[in-house]
Amino acid sequence: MTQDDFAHCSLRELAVLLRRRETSPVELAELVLRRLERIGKWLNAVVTLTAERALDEARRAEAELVAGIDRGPLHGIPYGAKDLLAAAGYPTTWGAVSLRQQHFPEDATAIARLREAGAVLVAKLATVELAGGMGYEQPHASFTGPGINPWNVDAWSGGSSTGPAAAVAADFVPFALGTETWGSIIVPASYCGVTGLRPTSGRVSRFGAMTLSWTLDKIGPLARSAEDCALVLAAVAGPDPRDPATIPHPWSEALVSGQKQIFRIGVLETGLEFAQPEVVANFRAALVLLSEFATLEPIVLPDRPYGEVIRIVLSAEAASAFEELVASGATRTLTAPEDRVGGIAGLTIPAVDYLRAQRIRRQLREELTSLLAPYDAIVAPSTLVVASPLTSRFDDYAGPARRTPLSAASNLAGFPAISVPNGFGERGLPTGLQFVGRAGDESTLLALARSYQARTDWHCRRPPLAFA
Amino acid sequence: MSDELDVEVEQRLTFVLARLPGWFDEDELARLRAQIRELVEASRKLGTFPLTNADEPDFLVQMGTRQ
Repeated sequence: MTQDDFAHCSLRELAVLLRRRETSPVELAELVLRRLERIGKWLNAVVTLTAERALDEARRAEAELVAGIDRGPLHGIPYGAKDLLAAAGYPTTWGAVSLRQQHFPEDATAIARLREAGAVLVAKLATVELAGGMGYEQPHASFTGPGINPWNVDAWSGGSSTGPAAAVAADFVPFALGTETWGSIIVPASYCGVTGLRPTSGRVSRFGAMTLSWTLDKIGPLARSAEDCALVLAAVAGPDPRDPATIPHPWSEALVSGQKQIFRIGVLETGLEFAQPEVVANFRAALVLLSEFATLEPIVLPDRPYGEVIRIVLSAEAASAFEELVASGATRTLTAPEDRVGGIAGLTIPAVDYLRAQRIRRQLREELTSLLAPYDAIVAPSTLVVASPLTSRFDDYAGPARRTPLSAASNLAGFPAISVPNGFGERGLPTGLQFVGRAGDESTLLALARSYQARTDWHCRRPPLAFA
Repeated sequence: MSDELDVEVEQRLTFVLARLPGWFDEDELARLRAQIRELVEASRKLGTFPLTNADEPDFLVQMGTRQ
């Protein structure tokens, strides 16, 4: 096995190699840093290389493993984090040029937990400025440049977790942390052909993460497979007194192994009429495969104003969360012209309109909980189109296919979701399959995704660039 | 309806201009007006959703403690 082959291994494979001493945490960190420096920056996937910290953490992991101290499957494994998550000693820019020197004194809880698990932080990865909360309409919305898709360098990587998705797809890092408020893990995971898990609201502490929306923000992994996502989730999940919204019990990867092997899935076809033909064909092929180990039943999402509710909730909360930042003038220098006035319109939302949206949201969540109760998951295409060209406005490329009701509904309800690759569409770009599960039940969701990936190899495909 | 909507958009825009005087050029004002219009339209649609006095708001920030 050559050193470059290590870049393409799963987390479990790397863990075995490290314990056999066929490689070392320091060797892995150096390899990953080289790849990120050489190609990652070219893809606009990297904000800051954390080389000094990475080598410190790698040396510590190496010494511990040699001494027989084993912190688990992530011990000695390099990873990247979206640059909304604080890491002590390095800038946390939120993708905004005016915040390039912003520092926080301690790690975000998710990063601190990965450090405890022995993982090695190698880079702060690119994000759409302010996680897209200012309403960006095209890919040029970060001071690091538009996220470039490793499968087609003329296409966008998706957002707002642009760097994490591209870095995993190009095999720069075996996993990365992203965040989602409304689509920011599922969409880039789908566009870049990687596996992305959006956990249940409250599963992962948000302490140390930029706030876009208190009631919608989630942190989750992007990785090569559902199995890898489960390992990362196990390390970062759990209650945190510094985030009062965290679910008060821990989550273990062992819960996935204990899951059943036959599933009941609701098939959602809403919006397929707007989807690209390849997206539809790949979805149909996936259903045939799913029917080998799941009962499939058509399901219909009630016709409710999901998009309007999430727009009001998100706009009002973002306007409040960024009120001081906007007033300081820091958003006047954002990269996307539309972002420079974003966050201001939300200041005009009357309190009663925000509360009305939250009152409706409660009804929607209860209705969706009942709808999903008989099923292990709902399945639908992750996105109805593949990644847009770098030069296109999103609406111009995707039209009515830009947003799916399921994305708004499941984010409002706080349900977990996972996107897995399921083929390729126009311009050689990946398509994705999305499973949405019950609140608090990532285990079933991950078991389902793992069963799908055990029968396919889409998640093993790599863009040629990954072998550069 | 469209006139009423336009009036509300302009009222909200006036509020923003009073709060942030001299901030916006012509293009930015047009963008801001469009963004406000989207929010007004969304709110108006939600205004037709039936609710009763007993319907409380949802705050997922409490979700963890409920589970």
